[in-house]
Amino acid sequence: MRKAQTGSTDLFVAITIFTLLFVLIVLTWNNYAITLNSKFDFQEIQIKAFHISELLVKTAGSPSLWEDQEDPSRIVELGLAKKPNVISKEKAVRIIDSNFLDKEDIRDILNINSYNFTINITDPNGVIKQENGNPLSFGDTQPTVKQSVVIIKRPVLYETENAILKVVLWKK
Amino acid sequence: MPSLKLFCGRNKGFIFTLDATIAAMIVISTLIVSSVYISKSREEALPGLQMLNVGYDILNLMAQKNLWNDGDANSLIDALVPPNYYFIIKRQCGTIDTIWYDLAKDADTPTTIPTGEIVVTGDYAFVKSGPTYCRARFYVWLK
Repeated sequence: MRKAQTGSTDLFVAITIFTLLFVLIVLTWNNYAITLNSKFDFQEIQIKAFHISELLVKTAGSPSLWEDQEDPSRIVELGLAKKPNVISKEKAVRIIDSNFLDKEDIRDILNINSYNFTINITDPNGVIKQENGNPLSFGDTQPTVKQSVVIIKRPVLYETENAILKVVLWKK
Repeated sequence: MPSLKLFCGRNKGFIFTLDATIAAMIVISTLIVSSVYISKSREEALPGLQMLNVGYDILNLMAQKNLWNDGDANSLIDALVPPNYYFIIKRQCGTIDTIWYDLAKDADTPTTIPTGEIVVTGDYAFVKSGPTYCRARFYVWLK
């Protein structure tokens, strides 16, 4: 084989390998960017969902007797607990009363305007509890399409009964 | 002037191509290893936090119901701990040297805490009548 021909074959092979690697790195970089973004989004949803569950399960809200307020705009924080991990029936009944608080009010108070949510109180078997014939559930309808959804289940007492408070959160 | 053949032999192109191939293999392996780590890191946060919260929630409920002494703690754990978790509570009362003993455990829970997997644990201090100072420690891990 002649010297010039050897050199150009080598150059051709090297350029081919370089091009393939370059394309591979660009595609992988793009894929990493998408994966990392979705990971950060998912972590943000997880943190929000944990904060919401913690707030609802551990605090009474602010003012602490917010359920007695006539004007929902005076509610600063929402909480459902009368003691840590013990859900107050009065607060639960009041929060599902859509004449008092609709889901947009709740979204504003919880500061989750870019998210959809569902919150419900179930028995240990997952059946939503009822109060005066109304299910103890509020928020948006859960998505049917494939989407990153965070579900947090917190063991609680609903007054004296064992129950689970379930928070479901996903991006709008 | 000596020819190129004297210095490099007949396989000059092959040597450079081998070099490029090794470089390509290193780049590809780096990409594969990094993508494995990136995809793995997504999975780790939520189960650990969820287990920690469940552990503290159960101990909180036991404190609310004052279940430190009787077997009712078992029914609470059966009812409220997710079925995919193993859950043990140990309790220690008195001095720091007092032996820990199992307070509550599902029937199918292993008697020893595993060493080769992630086990989430937390402590809770409480006062029994007497007063006796106690602490409870939970261990949660995936089935």
